[in-house]
Amino acid sequence: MLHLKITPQREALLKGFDNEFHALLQVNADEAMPPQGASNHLNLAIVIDCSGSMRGRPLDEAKKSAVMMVQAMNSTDRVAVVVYADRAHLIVPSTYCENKQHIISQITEISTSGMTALHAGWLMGAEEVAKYKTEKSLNRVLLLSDGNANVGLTSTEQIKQQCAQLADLDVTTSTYGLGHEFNEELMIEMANSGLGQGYYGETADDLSDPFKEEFELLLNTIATNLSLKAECPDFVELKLLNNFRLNGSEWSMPDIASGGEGWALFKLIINRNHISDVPLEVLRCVVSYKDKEANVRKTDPAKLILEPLSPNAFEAVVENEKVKTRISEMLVANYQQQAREAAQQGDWVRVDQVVAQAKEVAKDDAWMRQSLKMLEKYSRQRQREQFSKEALYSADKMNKRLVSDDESRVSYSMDIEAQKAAYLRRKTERGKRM
Amino acid sequence: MHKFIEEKDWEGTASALAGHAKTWMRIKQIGEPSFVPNERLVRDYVAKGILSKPERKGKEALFSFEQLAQFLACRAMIEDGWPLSKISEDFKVSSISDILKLIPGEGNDNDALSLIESFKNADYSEGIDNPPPIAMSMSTPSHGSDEKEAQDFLRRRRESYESRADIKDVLRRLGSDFGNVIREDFTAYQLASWLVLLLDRDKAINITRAEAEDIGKGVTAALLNRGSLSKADRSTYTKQVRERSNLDEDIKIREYELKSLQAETMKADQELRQRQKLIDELEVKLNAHKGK
Repeated sequence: MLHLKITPQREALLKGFDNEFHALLQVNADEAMPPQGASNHLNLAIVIDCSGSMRGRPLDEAKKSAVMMVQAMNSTDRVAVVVYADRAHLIVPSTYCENKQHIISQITEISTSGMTALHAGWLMGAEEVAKYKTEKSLNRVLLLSDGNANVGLTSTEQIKQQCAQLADLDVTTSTYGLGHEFNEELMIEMANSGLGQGYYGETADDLSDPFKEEFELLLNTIATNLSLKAECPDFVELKLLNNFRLNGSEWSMPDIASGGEGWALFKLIINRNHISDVPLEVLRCVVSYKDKEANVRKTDPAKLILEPLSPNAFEAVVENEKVKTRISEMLVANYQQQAREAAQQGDWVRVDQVVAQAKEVAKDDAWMRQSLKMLEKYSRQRQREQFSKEALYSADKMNKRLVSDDESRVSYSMDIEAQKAAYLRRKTERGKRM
Repeated sequence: MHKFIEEKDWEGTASALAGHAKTWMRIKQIGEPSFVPNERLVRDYVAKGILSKPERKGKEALFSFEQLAQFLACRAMIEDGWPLSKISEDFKVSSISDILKLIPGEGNDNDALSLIESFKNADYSEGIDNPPPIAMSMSTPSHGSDEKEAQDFLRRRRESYESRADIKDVLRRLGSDFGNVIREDFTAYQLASWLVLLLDRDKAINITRAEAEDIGKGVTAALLNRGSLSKADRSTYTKQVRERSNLDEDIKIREYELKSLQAETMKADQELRQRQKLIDELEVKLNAHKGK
């Protein structure tokens, strides 16, 4: 069962002035851990790029990650393996993970050749997943690539649309970029539209972390297909700051996994003329979702009602720390995007300016500070591709990460993060193993 | 109730086919309940090429699941108003999975697979090596351009469903803003093979130079404005347009009522004047009479 809570930046409205403030929607499950063995069956397709550029360690690590995934799956889970170069080949048609040795031997025999028919590979994986999806299965295509789509359909816009359409029918897509040559925009867009996760590894060694993160996330997923509906009176100007996919008039939120809080940050603007002496309801949210039993449920509505106060009384109302942190994260994410654009244009002066602004925002948050320090490293060495990828993946993560419940109580340290479930860890570099 | 696909091992004579088809027509609610298929009709459909030829086993001609499906699909098509000649023509190039899709409630009910099939049918799908068959295991090999024809047929049949459906429901599904079909005549100006300007026909006839120049500026603004209307804005805008349209309608009605009232007032005034004149005349006559 999911519960919603809306927390405003300050628990009041300021009388006599136009109000512009943020409100945080928190989505929590009432079960701390899913009961043992009650997780949904996995229905996965692992799609591996075996074009020429993957020769050597990249392909070895990709195969190792795929094998690791298969080994961790239950006999009631399904997996298919697709490889693609000039064309896509189905090397393991979707099968139950009963005879793991057979599946693993097929994976180890994969070798490299040719170009990157990324779309064809993805589509073949999606087809295998679609064939065996059930109401209770978690259906996902895991697409790995180190290059750019250059055979068949290559348009990011069209591929992204197809990912979105299939995600609406419960076939989701996660993407894994490898190295510095892959098209990060395509991979992130596919994951965002496909309602899965976007990961990347800078080197082949960094690839196992994302696979582990995804696998833990899939095993611990409590609610899927989250659709957020936000309503406000006509006089409230409302904007969602996260980069969630808009589906009709509702937003698709990331899946909720055990121990993780989903969230959305809104910006509200209210004209002074509509603020009188009586409390005002300014925002109402409802989330529909699919629980582990595949029942479609709806949360109780969460309402934000604020009392107008005089300037003196308003000043005394303390700003909520959690909301403040989320605002900082969204600002830093925004700066990272801006810095990435500047880096792509080769404007390193601008990059440094934007990163400095981001550091100013992040000054009270150790995780964000360290993440920005890593970006600065790439900036100093004028490594455009590395900077671009790290900035984009970091910004994306800040937009839609699940928050662990101890974040506000315990100060940030790598040791503490390493003890958390992989999908709750705050890594300082998205492309590196922790 | 078991699924029609579970009949895939069915086999029988023409008379058995007619009987079995009758049962399935009831289940699938195809046609009038009073309609009873018979052996003669089955043979007629074979002669017309709607049902594929039965298999000969000794003296008997044995029909199978394929002909049963063809029979049901054919009856569903007839209910949709398709002529037998057209059905026959299209069945000749349709695979069994295509035929099954024409039977209500059958065909591919996995939406994701259907969607993937549509992605694969697009031109860019080269690169897929021997894609496994998507429909049912018994699907026959595809027919190249014939397959496209069969798809057109399916599409046309879907269209006939739509035209039979309640128009309001269809428009609601399409997200219609007006709740009814608006028919307007346009004049098309093809400025280039990729650029066509559509203008209301009456407006196109009477357009002024200033208006034409304003259209040019409007198009420039629309093409260069990256922050064009969001979906929410569009919805608000449509709502406003609709409200304005209702208001315009109200104004027209009120104007009409006002004109009617003015006409009645004028008529009443005229009558009043005539009566006053009559009274005056009568008064003159009365006074004259008193004087005498």
